[in-house]
Amino acid sequence: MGDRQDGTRAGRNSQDEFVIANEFATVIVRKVHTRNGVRLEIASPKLGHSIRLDPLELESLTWQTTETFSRFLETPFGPGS
Amino acid sequence: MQVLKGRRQPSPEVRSMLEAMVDMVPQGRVPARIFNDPEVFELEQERIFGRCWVFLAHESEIPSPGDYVLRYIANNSIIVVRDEEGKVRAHLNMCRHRGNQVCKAEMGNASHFRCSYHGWTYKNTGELIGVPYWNEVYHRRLDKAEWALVPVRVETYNGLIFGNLDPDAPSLEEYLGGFQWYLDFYLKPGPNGTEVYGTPDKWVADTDWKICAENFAGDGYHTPVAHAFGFELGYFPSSARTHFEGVAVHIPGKGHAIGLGRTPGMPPFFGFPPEVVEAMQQTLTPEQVQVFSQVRTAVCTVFPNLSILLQPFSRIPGQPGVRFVTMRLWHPIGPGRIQMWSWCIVPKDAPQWYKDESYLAYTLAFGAAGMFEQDDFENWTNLTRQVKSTLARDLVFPYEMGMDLEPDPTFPGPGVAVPPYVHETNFRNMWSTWAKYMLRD
Ligand code: FES
Ligand SMILES: [Fe+2]
Repeated sequence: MGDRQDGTRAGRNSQDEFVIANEFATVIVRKVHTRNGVRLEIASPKLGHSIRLDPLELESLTWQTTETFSRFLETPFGPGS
Repeated sequence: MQVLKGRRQPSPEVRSMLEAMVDMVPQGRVPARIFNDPEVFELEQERIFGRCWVFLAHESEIPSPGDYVLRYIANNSIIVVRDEEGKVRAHLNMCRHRGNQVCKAEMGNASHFRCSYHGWTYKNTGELIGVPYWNEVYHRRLDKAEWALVPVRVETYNGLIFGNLDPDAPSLEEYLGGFQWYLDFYLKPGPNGTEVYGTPDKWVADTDWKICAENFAGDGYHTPVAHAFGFELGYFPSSARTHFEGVAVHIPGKGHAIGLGRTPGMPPFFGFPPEVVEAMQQTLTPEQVQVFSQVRTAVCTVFPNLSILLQPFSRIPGQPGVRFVTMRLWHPIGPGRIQMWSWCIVPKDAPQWYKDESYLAYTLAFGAAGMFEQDDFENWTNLTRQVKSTLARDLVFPYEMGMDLEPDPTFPGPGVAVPPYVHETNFRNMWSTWAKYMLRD
């Protein structure tokens, strides 16, 4: 664990980090600790995008359907694609 | 969707050979040439594999939403996937944009597939949902609904997923035509059926698919010869003296066939663990129990190229051993050449020790390095090489074993049941059926 410039802490070798991949995409998922709380970071090393989701945002994912993600993937490589 | 239909026609020479087979095969003659011929191979791609129900996968290979495997029908690469709703689907593994291969991994899990060429993205239902730069390059005019992955018809029987390229083909149920009664012995060892043990073994062999399919349609004749050491060392409970006892059954006009070998005095359901024996009493009908409890070897072919073998086998010669079931797909990839797919399937409800033992028995006997497999492929590869020689191509083989035998009218299962276990009745029906498909425009 090392302190970061933005005040969050996340460790490269920490057990908080793991990779989810299939033949189409690879993302790095990790817990990011802020001074006062925690978020889940999802990062795409290939596309360079990342997002940090808080528990409420994550909870809102639980009632989504595949359609939500099919809509996200209308631009398969992110905004502008 | 516009499809240009190209239908291959046989040369006059091959057509007359096929026409001659209509009378010749029932009289016990089959042309040697069919077992390794480029034109026959090309015609089979359309007329056999383009029309029959071809085995794709076992349902337990794709148990969860998004699980997929890559399989083939003729020369078509097929994605077999369980969609997010749990429905089994099959798609041609070809991107509709320029034809790139969509899935490259042999197996995986995905809700969406993104093509590596220009990035077209499909749901695992096949629907096209993402087209990069749709606004900029297509000005939103491309109709995504028109360019879904090409669907392939699928139907299942007790865990086996079959696909069919012919939209006009009859249902799988009609196609199997009663053969389900026999498949139940392999597929209903308990209320939860079967599952694959591990992933399939795969290899390439210079062997024609038809000789393998015929062998598993009940060639008990070769067993005491080609696999003599198996008898002599006591790997399985049979002897050359009693080996021919039992019955061979075929479904007329459908090509499916099974050999049921019996060993006199063998205890009922020998080699199955007590849990499975008890479960089979519930899942099978009394007639099926009556027939199958006596069976030592059950070896079958679902026309055209799926075969299943159930056999007691001991890793330690002379010991009682266990039953194993292997399912094999003889997938043609060229004249006289196959890609071999071999699975071990086990009863889902069986205790783990039995599944493990069963898999070890299978691996010792079959699979790329299996003892029995080696015996068979050595013979089949030599045979395949022989029949394409200039002299051999005009010869015929005798298929007259058991021509005078009568069906057993008291046999309780569907189809034509002709005792004993070893004769060529099943093969005559198989090659007559094959010729019928090959002659149909
Ligand atoms: S070939 Fe698949 S997107 Fe172009
Ligand atoms: Fe054999």
